[in-house]
Amino acid sequence: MQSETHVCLDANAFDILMPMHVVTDRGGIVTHAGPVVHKIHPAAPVVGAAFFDLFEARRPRRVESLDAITERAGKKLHLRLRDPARTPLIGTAVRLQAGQGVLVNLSFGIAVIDAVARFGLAGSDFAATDLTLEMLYLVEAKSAAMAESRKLNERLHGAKTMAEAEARSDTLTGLSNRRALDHVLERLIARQTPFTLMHLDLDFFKQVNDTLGHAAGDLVLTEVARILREESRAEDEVVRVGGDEFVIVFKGITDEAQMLCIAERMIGKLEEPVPFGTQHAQISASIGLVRSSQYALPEAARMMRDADAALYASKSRGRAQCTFFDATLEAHRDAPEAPPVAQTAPQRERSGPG
Amino acid sequence: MHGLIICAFESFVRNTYGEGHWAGLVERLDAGLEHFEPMFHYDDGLAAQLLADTAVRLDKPAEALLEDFGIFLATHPASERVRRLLRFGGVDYEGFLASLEDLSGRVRLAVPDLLLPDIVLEERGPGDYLLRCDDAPPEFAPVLTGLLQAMADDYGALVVIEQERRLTQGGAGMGDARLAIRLLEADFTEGRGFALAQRAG
Repeated sequence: MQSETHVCLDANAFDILMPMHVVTDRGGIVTHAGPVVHKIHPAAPVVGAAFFDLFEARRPRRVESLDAITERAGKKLHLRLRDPARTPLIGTAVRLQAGQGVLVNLSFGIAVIDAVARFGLAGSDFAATDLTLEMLYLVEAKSAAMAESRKLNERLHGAKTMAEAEARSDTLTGLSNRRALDHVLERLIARQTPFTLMHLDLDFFKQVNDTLGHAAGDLVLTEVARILREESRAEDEVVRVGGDEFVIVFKGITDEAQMLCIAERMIGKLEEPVPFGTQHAQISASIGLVRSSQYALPEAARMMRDADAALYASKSRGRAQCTFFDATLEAHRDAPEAPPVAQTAPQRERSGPG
Repeated sequence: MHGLIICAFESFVRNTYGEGHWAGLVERLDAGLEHFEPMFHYDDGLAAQLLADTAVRLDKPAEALLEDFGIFLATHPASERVRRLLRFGGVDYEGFLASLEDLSGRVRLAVPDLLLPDIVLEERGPGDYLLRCDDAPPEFAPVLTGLLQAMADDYGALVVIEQERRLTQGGAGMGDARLAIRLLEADFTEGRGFALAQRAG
């Protein structure tokens, strides 16, 4: 056992080491308080007041005397300042030598950020060894870094939304969308590149959705996308323009027989049943075609309307047909909303993708 | 180069010289961006080009521009955050100077990928300091000179700061940031004051 050493310190040394401490006599009356205690209790003099008139014990709850508190020397005390904000404090108490009373050292604990603001505390109000300033620095630096991260996230989110709005592909099938189609047609026409526009509409797709569900519908659409890509060349543009409507732009091909051959082969491939669980989804397709060489001055909107009229003619002739636009279809073109002729003809889905 | 540093420089140019100059600079830089992101990293060459372009455009020596940048960091309302974080370093100017040795560590605590050069402070006599910085880029010394001068005003201290040129074999290079700081009076003026608690907003 080492012999105990008694250290005598004057009040000034206490104030430097523990700017927020209170010394009371044996009766619990404050005889000295560190400089910060005066700061946090400006309403009335601290010296001469009873400790429990200044502070309320929260844990341990029934402690009403400092003697009881000092029995718990080294343990953490939870107190509240008796001020309007009931500022929470933590403390620890020790008995002083030779019956000089009790010393309670206080700190703000985790509530320090509020307390610093409430009492207007400065760096000099904390002991040089106290890490409160470092903590306040960190809190402020982290808040600043967090604010920058949040701003960056907001900017990225905005950019993502914008990118999605400007996207040129359909998320389900990966095919191009109508925005991309407009762009392609505009360029081909501007460069006077001959091309054939194919407008393809799935037959019986609604029945697949209705009987096997949307998962089957989505599977069929991805299968369709695969087939359309396989049956066209890399330089051709395959576009999903609606729920079950597709447009394919064949660059440099305007031969009618060749195009009909491609169209018929596509329909044949599309009619192959797609396995879905234990069942099969079966669809077909109707096609309308139009060539840029049919016009003295091709216009994208007009060609789209004419391809649609040719498609409508295919639908009218039953399903799984392909039709090239010609002048006799002009009448149809002007009445695109006419009801389907055949009872069995599937309803046209006009809803957009996704 | 960390985006926070380039962003601070962007803020300096925009707030001090106007949006027009900034727009002209990014156009000339031709890096496909209008603003720098504080949490990204950028090519050091791009940062160097930006500094060189700015010096030419504003017809100022790069060193004077960097010193003004240092002053901006400690004084401009747009950079109040930097001033506050620096003020946490010490309750008086000498405490602040001593805290510069911890600066790179403090900064890393908040932003782990923002690496600042390590600073060593030698006390040569009462109020007479030599601040050394090994492996610092040559731009560091003038920025620090402006910053330390402005922080002295902030604390209300009267100081004289001079960059010490040390002759090195092989001419200019890294590791030459040496500042002589003489503290003439610690309480020369009231200073700007510092509340530990941040004002709301």
